[in-house]
Amino acid sequence: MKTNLRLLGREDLTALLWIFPALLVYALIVLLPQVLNLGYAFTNYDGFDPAFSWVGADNFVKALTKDQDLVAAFINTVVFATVSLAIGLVLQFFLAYKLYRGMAGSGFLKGLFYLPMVVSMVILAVLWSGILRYHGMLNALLLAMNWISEPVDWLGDRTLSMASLIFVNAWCYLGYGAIIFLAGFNAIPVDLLESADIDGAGGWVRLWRIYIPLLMNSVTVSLFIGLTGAIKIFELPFVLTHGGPAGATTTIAYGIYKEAFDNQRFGYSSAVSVLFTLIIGLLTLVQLRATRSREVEY
Amino acid sequence: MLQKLGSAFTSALVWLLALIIAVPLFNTLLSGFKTSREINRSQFWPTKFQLDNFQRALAEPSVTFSFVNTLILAVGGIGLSLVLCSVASYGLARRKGRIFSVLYIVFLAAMIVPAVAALIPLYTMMRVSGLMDTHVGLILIYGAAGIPFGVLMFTSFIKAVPVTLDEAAILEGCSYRQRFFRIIFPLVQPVTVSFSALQVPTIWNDFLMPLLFLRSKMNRTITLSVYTFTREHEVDIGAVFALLILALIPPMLFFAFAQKQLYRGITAGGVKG
Repeated sequence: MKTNLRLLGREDLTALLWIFPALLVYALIVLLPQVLNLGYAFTNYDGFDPAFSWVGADNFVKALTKDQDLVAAFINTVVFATVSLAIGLVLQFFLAYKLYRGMAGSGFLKGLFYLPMVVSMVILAVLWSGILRYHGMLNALLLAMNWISEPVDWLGDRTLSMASLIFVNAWCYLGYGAIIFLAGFNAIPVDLLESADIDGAGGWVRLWRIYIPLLMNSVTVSLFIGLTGAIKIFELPFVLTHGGPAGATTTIAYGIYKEAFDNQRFGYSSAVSVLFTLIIGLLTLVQLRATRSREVEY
Repeated sequence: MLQKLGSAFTSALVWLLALIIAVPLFNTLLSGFKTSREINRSQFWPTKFQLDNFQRALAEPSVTFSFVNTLILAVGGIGLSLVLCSVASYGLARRKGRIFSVLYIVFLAAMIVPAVAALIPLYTMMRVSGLMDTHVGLILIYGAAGIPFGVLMFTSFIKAVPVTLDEAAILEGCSYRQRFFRIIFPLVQPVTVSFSALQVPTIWNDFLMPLLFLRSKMNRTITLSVYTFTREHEVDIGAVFALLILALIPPMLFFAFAQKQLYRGITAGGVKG
């Protein structure tokens, strides 16, 4: 150890000393909780009583085999994420393409679409609840136009409540994704497009042969941000539907929160969040692999 | 001809999307000036633009406080990240030893694990350390949460600064500290700006941490005070909308000033390179 230290040299020691404060804060507040969480997962800790006991893998066994609510939350999250992403990507790509080709007012439009991203999801959710509630703006509008004969329960119906959450989520992320794609469009070398012109490539050919393959990196980034955001969604169900009706919009993140802080089952909730972390890590890897291999060098 | 028609059609679609984004925001703006009766009747345009709603929203002292609180947390959290990351990244970017590349990876590792998993232990840690319901506790959490991203940004930026600058300074007899403060630190100011621009909305808009770790009314952040106000004053929908308008002002102002920075931040991540 002593020789190692000498090998490091004075400069290295100074550098380590300067790194130390960041490392300390990071280790205590970011890394330690992750380790503790893994430990809690094997206990029946309730968050307050220090006299908890080890229960082995019981929490994991329960989560994986007996917990119907968790299965439901898992399915809700998958539905929410896949539908949000599918709709989101198409709209974002379309929007970015139009802004890239240039249309009247594109500067204004870019700002307008991006705006929701700087506002808190909670604030946007409260704003939307004023529109979507039973006696809200949307129902009033539809009634006035005679499109419906009685108010629709946008947030209280099993299917519609999920659809509403997906819609609001897509609404929030539209501009963000579009700007990622727009950056991708702008990075396409001009000479590539010129040679496509010379070869007489039409709109569709360009779209499939140039834009989409060259934008795979933007797709990766947008998918990654959208997926991790959608899977961890908490604020929208928390504010708009309280996870209801009857758990129809309870997502995994909301479920973890409820188990821990409403039901005081810290140990069990930790086990679920460990599984959740594994799923997110795995998804991230698979998804990065899948889109990376389709990227094109240019 | 057909192409022009198609282009006009798709442009119309874009404007329709724009309308869908704008109407809820515009509706909020109008509703802040309506009476609760007008809102409940779903009257679109207020009969008279009145400010009573704002008065009632601001009558709650915790609402005014929440703006100051949020500002304190954002400035504190970002400041902490900036100090820790800039200082640490100089060594991480310049020293060649194995330990530095290992440390670098350790710092970035947290980017792939979700924060949800840390909430439960953090709750206990805050309680045990007596930091529950304090701004210091949240500043520490926000400051620490910014480290992975901050280290990534600062290290890659410093790596792009020519080493010859350091070497010349060494020949002049500058110490490690002098080199950092006189040469590197002034040069990394663009990172300071873009890191802050990305962190401001992250901290400003956070809801989960204040919800879990702030108890007393006077400590609330804006997001928390909007949420609790909405629950406690459900009947007074006019005041809720007035509060929403007030809550939208800071992010919009920020957006107006930092628009370029924000786009650039996304662009950096979204383009091959």
